[in-house]
Amino acid sequence: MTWRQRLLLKSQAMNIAEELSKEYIRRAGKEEFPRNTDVMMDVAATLFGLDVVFDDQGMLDSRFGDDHRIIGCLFPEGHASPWGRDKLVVVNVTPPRCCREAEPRIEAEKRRRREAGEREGILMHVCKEDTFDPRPYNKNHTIAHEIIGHYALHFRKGVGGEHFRRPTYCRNPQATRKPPLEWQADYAAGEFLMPRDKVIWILDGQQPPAVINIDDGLKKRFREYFDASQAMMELRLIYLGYKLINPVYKWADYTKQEEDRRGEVQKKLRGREQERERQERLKAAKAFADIGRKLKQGSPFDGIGDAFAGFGDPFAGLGDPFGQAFKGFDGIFSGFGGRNFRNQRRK
Amino acid sequence: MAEKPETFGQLLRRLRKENGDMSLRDLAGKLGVSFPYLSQIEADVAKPSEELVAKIAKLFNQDVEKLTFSARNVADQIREIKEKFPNVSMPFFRKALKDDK
Repeated sequence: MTWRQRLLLKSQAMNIAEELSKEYIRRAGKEEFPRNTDVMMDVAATLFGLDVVFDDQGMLDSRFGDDHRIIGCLFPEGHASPWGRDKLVVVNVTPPRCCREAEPRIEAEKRRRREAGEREGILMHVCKEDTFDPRPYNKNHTIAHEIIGHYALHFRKGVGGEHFRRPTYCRNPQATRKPPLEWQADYAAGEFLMPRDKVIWILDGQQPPAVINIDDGLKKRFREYFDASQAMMELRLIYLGYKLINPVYKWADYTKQEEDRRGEVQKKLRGREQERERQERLKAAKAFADIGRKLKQGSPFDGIGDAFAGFGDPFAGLGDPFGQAFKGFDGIFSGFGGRNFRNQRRK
Repeated sequence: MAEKPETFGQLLRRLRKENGDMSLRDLAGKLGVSFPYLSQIEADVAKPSEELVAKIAKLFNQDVEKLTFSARNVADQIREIKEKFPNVSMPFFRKALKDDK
């Protein structure tokens, strides 16, 4: 099979999501939101022969040498998973390392307090990884992303991208710039989990590109109806073409994007102004250079002789005493190498 | 070509579906294991302990020995022998396997 990066149309993702929705309804017996994880797993097994495994032992982390940066992974045909078998979708549910390490310490402290007869109180671990949300997307999203996006949309159609020789598609939520394959898979997953018509219904009929304020009410509606996390909701709304105000994620912020856009426009205008000034300076410099060239070519006194033409001979009335006197200086002037002087004398 | 025998994961999934379409999480709760572990057993990437197999057999009213055979990936030939002599006990087979090794 030839692997290639290909521009996929939104309609292709929509068609695949629709097909899976039909299969889902056939299995579940009804259209339901939020989607049921077990039914999704059934659909994956029957349609594609893919098994879904939840990794709580850090197998993915150890395989990719990272502490819970991979939230899901697809191991299609011919690509063995850390467990040795292929045709597997792995969802990472391993807690971050700091939480894993804290658990035995908390248990030991509880035990100590119990033995000492102290009040146990509430002991909890505050995750150090405050810059990293380990589960920005729920497991339904991860499963749909891997199955509909990476498997049905990419792997089966031979779309490879950067994993040209290693089509094990992993997801890294830390990535600031998502590769096209990830965006496409997210879009396909969104189509399946939160269809466009349902989203419009939740937004009281507001069609894209309406400006949507992300408030608590909206978050609650999305959570209750789709079981959607903040990231899932914002991602879906952005993909549908809405403009978001007050989102949590910077990439979804419409006002910031507007500011950036305005900043870009101003930067462009400033750039144009600077360019115009630069051009003017260049013209001026060219003009000066032309004058300099002219001066070099001719005598600086060429015009001066003519200028004094009307005055006649100013020294005529003085007789010859000065004429004799200046004769001795000739040699001195020629010694300066003044070409103009010499030329003039030749003339 | 002979059909591949059902793996333990497939068998467990079938039993779960046949018994009221139980969810993975519900079954994990009933068996006292985590749902990720159960998902790994169903995908045949993890092997259940004999204790867990006994629990599953009890829950779904199945033959423990049959499930154990399926779960431990016993070779097809031994499986055939077991099917031919169903009254021979598991300890005998275990001993036979050990001697064979």
